[in-house]
Amino acid sequence: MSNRNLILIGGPDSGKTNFIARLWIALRAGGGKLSASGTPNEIKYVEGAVAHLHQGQFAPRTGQNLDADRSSVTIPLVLTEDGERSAAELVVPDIFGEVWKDAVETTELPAEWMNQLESAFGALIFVRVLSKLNRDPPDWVTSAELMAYQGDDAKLTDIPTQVMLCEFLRFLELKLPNNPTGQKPRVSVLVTAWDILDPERSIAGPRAYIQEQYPLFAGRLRDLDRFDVSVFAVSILGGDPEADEGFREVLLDSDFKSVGYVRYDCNGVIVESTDLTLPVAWAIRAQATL
Amino acid sequence: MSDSACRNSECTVAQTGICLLNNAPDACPHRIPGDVAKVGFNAIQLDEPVLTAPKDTPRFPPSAALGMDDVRTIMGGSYGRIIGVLGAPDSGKTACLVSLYLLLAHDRVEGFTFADSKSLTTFDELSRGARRWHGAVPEQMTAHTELGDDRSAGFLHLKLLRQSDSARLNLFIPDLPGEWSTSLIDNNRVDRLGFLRAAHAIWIMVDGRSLADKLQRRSEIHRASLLIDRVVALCVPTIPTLRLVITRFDQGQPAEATLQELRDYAAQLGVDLAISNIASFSDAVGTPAGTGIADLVTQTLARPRYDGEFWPEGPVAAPGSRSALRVPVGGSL
Repeated sequence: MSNRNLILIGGPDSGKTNFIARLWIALRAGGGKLSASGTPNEIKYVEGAVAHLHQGQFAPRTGQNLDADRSSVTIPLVLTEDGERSAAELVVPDIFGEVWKDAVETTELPAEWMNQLESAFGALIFVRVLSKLNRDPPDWVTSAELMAYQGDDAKLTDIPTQVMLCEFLRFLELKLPNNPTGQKPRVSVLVTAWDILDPERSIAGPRAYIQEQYPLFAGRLRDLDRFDVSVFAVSILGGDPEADEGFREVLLDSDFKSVGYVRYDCNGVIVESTDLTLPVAWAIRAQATL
Repeated sequence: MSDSACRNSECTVAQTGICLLNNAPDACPHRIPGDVAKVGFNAIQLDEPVLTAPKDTPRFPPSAALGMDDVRTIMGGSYGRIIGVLGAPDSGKTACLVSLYLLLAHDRVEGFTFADSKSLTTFDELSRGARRWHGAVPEQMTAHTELGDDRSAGFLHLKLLRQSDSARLNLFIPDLPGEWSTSLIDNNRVDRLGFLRAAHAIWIMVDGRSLADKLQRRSEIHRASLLIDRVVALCVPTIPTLRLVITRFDQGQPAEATLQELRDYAAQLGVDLAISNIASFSDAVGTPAGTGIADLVTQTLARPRYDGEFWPEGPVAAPGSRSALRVPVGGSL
């Protein structure tokens, strides 16, 4: 297996950096579908985020000012499939949510990201449960007011999150190439911070959550035939150490290997796994089926 | 020729030797002495570009209203339906489209779910009041929209999944200024509305308040019947389904006699006029916003019912004619 570049797409505060940090811990620990076969030369930005997790905090939102000391990270991987081990490289690009938000607003994407998108093997799309930056579509009352407003300096409200997610899919449809093997590219949708969801929604699973919260995005996902799509609920630590002091104590005493989980729909049943490499393994076809 | 220069940019003393203010060139207070002027010129680095090249950022095509060319391309690849929307300015055309979009965005259209839209951004911008007809309304259907264009006369695309039969339906709904309908009535301006001949259905939007108002009712019926006239004349011989859409019905419900008058009028022209009531936004308690829109869509997209004779009498096909083998629609052997 050769290079398998993944493109990571998500608006600001959608959980990309924290997921990559937790993924790196899982790859180092081994035991999952994917494991690391060495340490990349350039790992500084991932390590910065890992340091936060190890202290029982989430890494803060990635800002543009950090750009200077960041570059894409290439992680050498060992894939374990049917007892056979093969090598691959996972290229995780420099990730920064504002770029994707701007791309939706202006349709412009800086050349380096566009190149990554055009050469990617698969994609991960991130959306975070209950993020303060999530935007609902206007309701009829606000929309009627906005439409009736006749001033020239009409202030635009933010683009609703589900419209942004639909636009991400459109970008992928336009630019993501077919796999060299001729197979459909795979797209993993990661619904992050799953642990803060109420029990009822949590039990219903990630597809039901997307259908309820983002009907346009859910419809678009069903209609896609250029890609295979899987939706994962992700909790990188299994709880919120910043809100729950007791959980933080337990977390800090743990070995970090078994914290967190992913959940996905498998033939109508919600399956849980502690292998946090699964969304990536599936997207790069290291995991054939779920 | 003098080698002096002047601080006044309109002065041509350097070329003509004549001062703009008619001063003696050497004595003019605005003059820049020759040696200073020369130094200034030489100081400019000639190999430096005056302007830096603009950074060429790659772009995605916008998900905006579609032009005629885009519609042709998509319809070439998959079956699509054009739904014409006509009506005077402020008859509620845009509100109806926005309300349909909001219903889909909240998953509240019974029987249908959203599947795709090639003009999602424009729908979204309309719903946030960010797209209006600025000043002069567009004169022609756009061929192709660019991002940053003002609102242009183009088609909004929606792909809906019908739950009853899992059919995916591509709809193209033109977003047109009301003035086009006005000029269709007043000047029979049909050149830019030719696409209506290919429409699956045409919605004629009428403000329910006017139709229910004693003072405006007659005029509104008059204009609506003229519009029906024009549309029939434009589309004959194949007239799409015509549907009178009464908007803002939460604020005014026309009397049945009024509606019957319009139905009768259309019937004289050989048209079976369907009628729908909608409240895109609602001010009335008990009428939720978006009432009637799901029905409007369901009825517009309903599969045609065959009401014809089972085995119609007709001229007998000539022997050997292939049409003799044809089974009438809705019938079976």
